[in-house]
Amino acid sequence: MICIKPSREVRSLRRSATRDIRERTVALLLLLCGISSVCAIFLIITFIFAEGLPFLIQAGPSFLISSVWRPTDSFSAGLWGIFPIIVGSLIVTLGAVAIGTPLGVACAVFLAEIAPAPVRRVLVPSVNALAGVPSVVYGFFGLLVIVPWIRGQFGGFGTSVFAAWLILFIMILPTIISISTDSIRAVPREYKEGSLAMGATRWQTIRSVLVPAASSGIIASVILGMGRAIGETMAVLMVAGNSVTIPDSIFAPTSTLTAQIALEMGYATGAHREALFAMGIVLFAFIMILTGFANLASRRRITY
Amino acid sequence: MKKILPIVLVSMLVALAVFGAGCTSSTNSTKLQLAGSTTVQPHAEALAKAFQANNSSVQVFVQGGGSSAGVTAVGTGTADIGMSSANLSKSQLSQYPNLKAVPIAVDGIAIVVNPQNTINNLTLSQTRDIFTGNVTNWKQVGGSDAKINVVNREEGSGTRDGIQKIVLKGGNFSSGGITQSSTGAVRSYVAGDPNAIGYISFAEVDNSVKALSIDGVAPTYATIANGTYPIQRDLLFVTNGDPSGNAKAFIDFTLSPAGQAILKADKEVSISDASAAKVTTSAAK
Repeated sequence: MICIKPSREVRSLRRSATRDIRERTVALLLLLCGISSVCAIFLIITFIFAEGLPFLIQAGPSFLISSVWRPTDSFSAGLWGIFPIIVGSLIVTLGAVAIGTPLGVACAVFLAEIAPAPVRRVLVPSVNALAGVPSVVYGFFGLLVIVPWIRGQFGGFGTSVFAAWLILFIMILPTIISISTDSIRAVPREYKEGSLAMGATRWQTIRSVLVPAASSGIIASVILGMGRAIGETMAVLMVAGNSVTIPDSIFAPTSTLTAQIALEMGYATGAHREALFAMGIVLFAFIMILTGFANLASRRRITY
Repeated sequence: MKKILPIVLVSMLVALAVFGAGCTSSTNSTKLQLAGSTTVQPHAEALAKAFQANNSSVQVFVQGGGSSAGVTAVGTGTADIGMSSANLSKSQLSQYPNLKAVPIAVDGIAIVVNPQNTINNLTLSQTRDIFTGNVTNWKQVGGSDAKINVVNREEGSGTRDGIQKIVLKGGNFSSGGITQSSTGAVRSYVAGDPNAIGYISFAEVDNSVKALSIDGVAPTYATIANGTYPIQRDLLFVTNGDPSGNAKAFIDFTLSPAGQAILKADKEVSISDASAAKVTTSAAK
């Protein structure tokens, strides 16, 4: 065998071999990171179901449809009713979304189409800052400003459905605004140019072309906002009053699934603790349904 | 940049492994962990500070979480001493049969209203009617014509438990009130709402709220100590088995004159001042 200097091809092959190993290592590490996050969600799901499912099966449907929540009494089926809490969660969430959606979408249209660059330079960071405010700060603001104001104006406790709506709609605005703005911006330029070329006014273009074309993104933003609203705990806990009753007016106190879990978790033992995990399963089901809708909405394509 | 990425990732994994291991490392013998009632917590913190001044080798950690959580923490060995503002329940004792409770002080529960409220006294049965929802207007108990805004603590709270046992005699709270998650939250709500009524530990009463007399007896150190103020409960330290080591030292310190003086300064009634009849022993009912 004759020993020769490695040819150019061989050298480049070796280089690519080491590069290959390096790339594979990095890919493997990234894969591990990816897997660890999947593992986390899988572990959480397993844990919640392991703790809550036996209770859910034992308590049966009365858990969902009964209205009396007295967890520290001795175990009997009627005292584990979370129906008012589910209703409270839905009312609080839907109301906040109903207030937040028109405002958020209008703001997104303004930012994407109308606002001159200097205005946008101020508004966009402000909206992002809104997303960065910790929820306990929203709650504190609500407790010190909004709750006393409602008590003074409308009577009652002040801590109410209405207070929760006012706090939550502000909290979901950044989600709705940023995703809607992106989806309006992503509408192909030709659509807008075509519309304007045909003599449509700016407002007609926005209303009949841009917003419909971006509707899948806008709907997704609203559903994600709804997910944020239903999952919000701390701020709602501070302003909603946490009364396990179906509110008879928007100025009456109510409770939500998340707030109720957070409120009682520290003290709960035995069946009470399991009941809270069962509430977690209900909440989880709500959020899965919402996420499913969000995925469907964002996959939908507009065709002309 | 390309070279940094794997290094960062690897160091993250290593850090994770190290910290993960750190969490499970065995407990140090000079560490004393307290957990439980948020009513007892501030007193335990004051006691811990004084205790550590004399026993610098022992590190005392005081954690809240609530009475039940504290008892569970002791039962499972997560904490050395559990703090509880309610007697041990049957289910807690059947789950952890070795639990031992030591009363460290007697705490009055004050019924508090807004300082603007003209009411100064309620009978025990009026108080019961208000919290069960039989009475919903201040007019019905001699006040102005306004709806009563009841503020409760959450299910499982030792203070709520005390009111349910002593004032409601086991009856149920009306579902009409709102729920606040801590003594401080109840106090600040009542301070802000002229029509509110709530209940907090006597030690936590300040000028922002007015503590009502019950059956003509105002809550004071003396009336709680001699048992004439009716709404009161023992504050307990709970251990799994007889206290030993640091836990014993800490409990002994708490019961010593120096420890009791700290509780007294916080407006809790010293066990030695309390009428003997009122000091129930640990065992549950």
